[in-house]
Amino acid sequence: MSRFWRWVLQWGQPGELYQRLVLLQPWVAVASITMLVAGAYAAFWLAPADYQQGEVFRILYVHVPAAWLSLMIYGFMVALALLVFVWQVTVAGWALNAFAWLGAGYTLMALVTGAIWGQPTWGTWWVWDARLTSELVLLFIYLGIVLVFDALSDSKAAARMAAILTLVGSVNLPIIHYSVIWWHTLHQPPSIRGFDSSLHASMLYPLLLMALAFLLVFVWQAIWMLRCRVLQEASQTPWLARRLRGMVENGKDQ
Amino acid sequence: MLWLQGPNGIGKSSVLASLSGGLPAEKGQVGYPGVEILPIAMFASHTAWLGDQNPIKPGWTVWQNLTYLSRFYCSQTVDPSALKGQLQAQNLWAERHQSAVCLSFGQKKRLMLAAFLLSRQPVWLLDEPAVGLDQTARHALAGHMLEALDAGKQIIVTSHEPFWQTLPLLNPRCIKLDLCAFSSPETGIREAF
Amino acid sequence: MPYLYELFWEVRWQWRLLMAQPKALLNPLLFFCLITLLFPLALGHAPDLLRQAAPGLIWVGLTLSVFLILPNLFMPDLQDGTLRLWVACRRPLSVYVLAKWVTHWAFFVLPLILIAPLLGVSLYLDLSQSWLMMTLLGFGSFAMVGIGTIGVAVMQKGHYNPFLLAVLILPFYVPILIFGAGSLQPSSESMAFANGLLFLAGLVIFTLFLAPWAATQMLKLTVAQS
Repeated sequence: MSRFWRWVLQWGQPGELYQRLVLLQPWVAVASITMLVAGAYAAFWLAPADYQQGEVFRILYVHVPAAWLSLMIYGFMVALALLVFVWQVTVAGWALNAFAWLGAGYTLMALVTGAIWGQPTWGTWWVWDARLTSELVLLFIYLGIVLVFDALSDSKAAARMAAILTLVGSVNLPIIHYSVIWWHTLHQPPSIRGFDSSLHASMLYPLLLMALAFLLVFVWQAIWMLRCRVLQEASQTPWLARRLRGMVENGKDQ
Repeated sequence: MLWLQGPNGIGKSSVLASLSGGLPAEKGQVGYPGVEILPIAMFASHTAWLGDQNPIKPGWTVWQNLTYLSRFYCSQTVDPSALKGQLQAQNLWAERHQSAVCLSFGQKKRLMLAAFLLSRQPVWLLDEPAVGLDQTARHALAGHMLEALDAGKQIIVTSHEPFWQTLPLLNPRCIKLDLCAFSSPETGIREAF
Repeated sequence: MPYLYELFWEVRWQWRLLMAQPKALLNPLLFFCLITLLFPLALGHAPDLLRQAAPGLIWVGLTLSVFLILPNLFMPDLQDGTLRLWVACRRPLSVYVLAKWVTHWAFFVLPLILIAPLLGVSLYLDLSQSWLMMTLLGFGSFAMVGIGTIGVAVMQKGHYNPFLLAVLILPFYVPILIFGAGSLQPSSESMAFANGLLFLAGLVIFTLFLAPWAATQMLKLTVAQS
């Protein structure tokens, strides 16, 4: 086996994974804070106000990255679910659990910011818009996966069940999405549009910056949750005892 | 014949369930004289498993239950005369049209045995087969086990009491295996780190 | 085709199992009637309003009834050990899932669909639409039970959590409700019905491939836990 493949496979070992996460975390933290500050500056000061909506439209810089991320996390989860289901990687199940929580969080964030945005622009907190409805269904699917993890005492079986559910969801999500769009056009003419006109570059670059910042923050959060999970699962193992002894001797967690 | 022994909760039933394929076993190989050594997942097709539960439907008659259960142990449709023979051997022929609600626990166990004895697999996995059986039925079961051994089959049995000791021919062929010697809880997660 | 033969055999025996207690059919039937007749009491009896809402109300009533039927699918067999026997004797669990699905739909859900036009009368629904409605309800509810098999296969120690079941499967019912009830709206064009029917038929075929696989995997894990 080549060195590369050994390196790839070592991500599946909890001890090695923890070590790598510890090394990775400061870099991700610095990068995400920098991007977040830069993105926020660009979004709230540099970008011009919308000529129709005024300053209100700036919530787009939170709403759209959250919505993108909520879909992207599901994509990551499908990959993790395959790792759990086909190759039975225990660590992938722990990551799946963390990702499901974070995905539910970002979906909720997209829904709440969408409602806050909708109140001044559309005059209502909620419309049965196709995208909003799909997002709501996505939230319920995330919550279902989270609940499956909590429902079973055997965490390995729970991870496999959640992985199957993730895969089932992944094939059903497009169906749900397109049926909702069809339903929307059936019931009412698409009089209200969110934003689908092409953005001016001065508005687009801050958005891309914010999207990248959100992605980095998500990775940072995921690293934290995964580290906690590894320590939780490591109770009573000699690995943890060695680590603790090292911490006491060196005075820091390295 | 192998007698798995040990206190409650040590994992006797789990061993049998893993061998039958009912529990996913992570690793392990099994073999016995006459066949090559197989991974545990492949070994499952050699086994016939008799569990500690009696999945008998109260809505059906004894005959219907036996027909349904026979499907689990025999892949092709079973000849009614073979079913009749098994019911007569288990002393249930007179009750064949009765609803299964009326059966006592021991009778249910005998009904399960009637279905189980139709199996042709070379390895028998018996999980507490004697619970609820009276003295004659236990003696008859031990007789069936001896017959199976003579026919070249292998038996793995869990039981708290060696009910087969009444048969002097069977007793010396039994190897006792105490599972206490093997227990090591939570090795899986330790190895992962 | 030994697989089809096996399936046929199992369907026959599952049907016999249900016919051993024919009175169990009354429970979902009564529930469906009561839940649907509750709506006029809550919404008021204005004929226009009820006629407009009728397809949706019938669909929601049917969904709730299906939801109450689902726990009956696997739980008895998990508790009495039949499922352990299925796994230990290496019979294909997809046969089991398909047989349960078909028989439970035919036994419990089909009667609900047959009386749906009667309930539609009480909601001032146009009777000429009955056949369309029953066809849509038939396809939709069949897919519903199929998707439900995945959800009810998630059980812990022989018990299932109704709230968990709701969160697991109701999101997947969204397309069925949209197409099933949407095609019956009085305002919708005649094309909508054909579209809805085609969509639901496609969904049934899709579920026929997906649900037995997913439910089999879930059941194996559930049985290993119990």
